[in-house]
Amino acid sequence: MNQNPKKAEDCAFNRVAGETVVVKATDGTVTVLNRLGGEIWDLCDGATSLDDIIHTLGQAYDQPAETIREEVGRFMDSMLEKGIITR
Amino acid sequence: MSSQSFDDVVRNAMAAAIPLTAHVMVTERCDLNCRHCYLPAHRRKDSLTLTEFDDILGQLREAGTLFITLSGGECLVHPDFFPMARLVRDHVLALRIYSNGNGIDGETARRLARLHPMEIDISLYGADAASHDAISGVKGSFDRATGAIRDLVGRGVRVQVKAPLMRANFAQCEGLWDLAESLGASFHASPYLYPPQGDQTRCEAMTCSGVELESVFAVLETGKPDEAAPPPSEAKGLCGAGINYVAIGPDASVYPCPMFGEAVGNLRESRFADIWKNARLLADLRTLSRGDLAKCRDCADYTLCNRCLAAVHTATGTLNGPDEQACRIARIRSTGRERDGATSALEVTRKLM
Repeated sequence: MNQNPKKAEDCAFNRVAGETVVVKATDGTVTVLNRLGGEIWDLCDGATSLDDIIHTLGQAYDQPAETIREEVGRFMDSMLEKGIITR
Repeated sequence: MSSQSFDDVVRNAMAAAIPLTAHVMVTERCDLNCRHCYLPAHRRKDSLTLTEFDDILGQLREAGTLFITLSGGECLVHPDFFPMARLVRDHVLALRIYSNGNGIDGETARRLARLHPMEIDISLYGADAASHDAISGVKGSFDRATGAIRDLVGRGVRVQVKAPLMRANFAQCEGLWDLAESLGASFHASPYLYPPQGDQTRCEAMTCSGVELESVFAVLETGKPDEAAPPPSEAKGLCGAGINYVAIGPDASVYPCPMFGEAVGNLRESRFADIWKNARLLADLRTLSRGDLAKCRDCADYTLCNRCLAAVHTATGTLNGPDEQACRIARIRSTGRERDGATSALEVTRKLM
């Protein structure tokens, strides 16, 4: 995925009791993200590239780039499937 | 992804008193004249301005709100309804709209669909024009409401038909349900009425009799997940009002829910966070437990009861008394279930699912 990921237009979200909760408004499905998922979600702003997201998280978590890349890749696949992230 | 489910989030929001859902009555003006309307005439106050609304949304988001319900009166008659609804989405909050559908023509439906609302709830009072219009007080309102549902559903918007059931329309329960399904909408019915204009006597005259309630439950308990089938819970008799649910009035007053007559503060005078944290009534609501409900805690019908805290508070000034209307409905429902051989609320809930 080369395009900058961004939140889908029909989504709503907020931090609720420490969790990022995402609602896909058009079908009412709710996804609860953990801390890392919430951080990736915040970076999906349409302006930040996937490489920049991986770089930012790599610095924050002091993990090898490959580990972060795999985590982010899994997250993106799942969110794309749910339709709450678009490219 | 988190290991937490949305139910966990709701539970955590209750525990931490986070206003997950805010019900905003942007105006109390309305283009119908429903005979059962609970809004007292003196509450038809001024409407929120766009600037106020924007600020309120920011404060609610900061407090953890995720769902905004725009309501009224009839929210679509507010001159700034669409800019307000757009602001909800600009704050990246989930939008739900309560409407009578009277003002939703094809073009309005198109504009609503573009907002990606989570759901639009439209009230229907009868399965045909004569029955609906007799209750709404406006000729043609049935045709406009059903037309609105068709337009919205056709544009992919999820619509729920809401049917308050009363003496005047209880016999239409099944017809209303069939109509909702034929229009592609989900259906929610309730025989519980809030006192019209606060008039308890009028309310009693309008609510279904015992025999009428039996007929309503005979329909609803055949397979409809609605208010008639609350899940068995120790929390029944209590609710999320003032805990994970808040209402804002058109004059920026803050209420535990739209049905509470007593405001706990006003956003023209105080910040939401301060009101939410410090209001005495909210503190009382958050500490109330089943054990405090002297006449209800040992009631055999407790898990079938949709006791309304606001109705109790309005009638008695306390939170722990019984809700006579809810008692009567639960008792009749319970009697009908005993006769039909159901043995527990869980059993009915399973049937309904």
